Amino acid sequence: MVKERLIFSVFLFLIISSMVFSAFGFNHIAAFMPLVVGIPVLILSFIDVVKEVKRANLESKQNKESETSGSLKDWFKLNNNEFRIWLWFTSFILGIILTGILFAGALFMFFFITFEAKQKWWVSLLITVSLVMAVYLFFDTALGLTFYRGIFF
Amino acid sequence: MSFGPAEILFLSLLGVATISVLSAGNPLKGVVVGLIGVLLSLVGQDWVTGAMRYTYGLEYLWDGFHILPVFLGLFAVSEMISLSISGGEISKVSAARIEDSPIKGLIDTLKHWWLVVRCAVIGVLTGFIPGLGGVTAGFLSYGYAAVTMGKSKEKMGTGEVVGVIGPESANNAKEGGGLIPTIAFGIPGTPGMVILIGALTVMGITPGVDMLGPKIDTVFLMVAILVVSNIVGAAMIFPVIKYLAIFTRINVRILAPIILVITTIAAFNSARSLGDIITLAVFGVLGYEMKKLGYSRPALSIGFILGVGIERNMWLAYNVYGFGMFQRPTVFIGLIILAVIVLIPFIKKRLPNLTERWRGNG
Repeated sequence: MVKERLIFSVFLFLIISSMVFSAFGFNHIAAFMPLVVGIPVLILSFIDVVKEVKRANLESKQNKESETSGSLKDWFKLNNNEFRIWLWFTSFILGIILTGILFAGALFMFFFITFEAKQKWWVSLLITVSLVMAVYLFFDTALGLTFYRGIFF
Repeated sequence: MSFGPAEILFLSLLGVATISVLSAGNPLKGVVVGLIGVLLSLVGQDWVTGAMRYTYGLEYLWDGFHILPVFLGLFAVSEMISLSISGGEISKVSAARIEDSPIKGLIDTLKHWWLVVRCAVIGVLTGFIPGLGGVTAGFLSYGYAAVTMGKSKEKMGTGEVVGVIGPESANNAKEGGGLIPTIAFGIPGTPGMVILIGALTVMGITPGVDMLGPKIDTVFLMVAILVVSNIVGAAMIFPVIKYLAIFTRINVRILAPIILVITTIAAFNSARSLGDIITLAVFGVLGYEMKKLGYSRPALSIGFILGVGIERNMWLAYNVYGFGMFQRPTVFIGLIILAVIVLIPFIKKRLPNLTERWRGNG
């Protein structure tokens, strides 16, 4: 957790740095607000990174004492659940981009409910079909909203 | 004493100052993400010069990030991912306790009646200022509710009832506040008030001074309708609350994909662009990591919501008043309140030491 927090702090620091340095390229009026906000937050973010580095060092010392291994294999073992859900989410978003919301959404619901919620296939199918129909009737027919159709359609 | 851009600027800054209250557990991280929220709100075309900022050639970013996908990502998507990982049911309480919860909710609201009144005042004042919006009212009152929690404010965000009562009171009250500029000056503060002005115009009623004179009965009728509609709405929903609460007992891995699909449809219809779906996903990941690692998501949201208003009103106030804006009485009072809010945590920290020193000298 401490290492993750350090990585996230560094990530935020890099984002802020890139935004501050980009701001130097704007004209002086457009750059005013990004620099007034960006420079103090860059300093604060740096302090946050330093604090996290200190905390991570302290933790690694304690880990050495208790001789626990921190290999990538162990990490996957520990975070198996999280890793799996992220795979589902990534494939859902990629599916939407390629095939559209309705098609990818229906597939995602069916497989997720079947494999992750461990429901029988016909229960998943029933939920998926009734929800897709409800969504289509409510959002498309009644409210006139549009669905993203994907790159392939 | 009028209400201009300078006053709106300082009210927005007051909103940003609540970040320090909302991130009581880790103020440094709270302030960092809050100000990142302000930076993210600056993405898109600059309001003064028309220059593009942080768009990196993407047409979608010309208007900046849209609020809907950002908020749905930060709160809805991240929550669904988090719940899917943990599995089980959303509600950890028994079915019997859900049966009793509507009455308990009512009792809790009555028990915190003073908080309801105070947050309602915040809502009315926020609704009164055109363009400030209900989100600001919600966050200001959430921050205020956190302050009233005293030392146990770290419980906020863990299902503490005060965090629901405060923003909801303000949210309902802001509609009443929004009626004031709409009726008195014909200035609508929210999209809902624009529709109201349209409806009044169709009926031959022109909002303005007339409404406060010969047509004052219509104003009282509107106030009565607002009160009655809230009571009727609550009475209608009250008997079905326990049935709605059943949703919290369903396996979250059945609910999560359904909510994710509906959330994506909602986000896409924000601007009907693929960019909205990508924004939703990116902020979903960001929101999940923030939640997991203890960063305040409301802080980022406040910065994001108020950032544009701060910049816009800063330039407006500077062009209209110059540095004379600081001499305006409302701004001066606003600055004092702002200083008090920012300094209170530090004073509170130092106060015990000062008291001990004073006692020692005495």
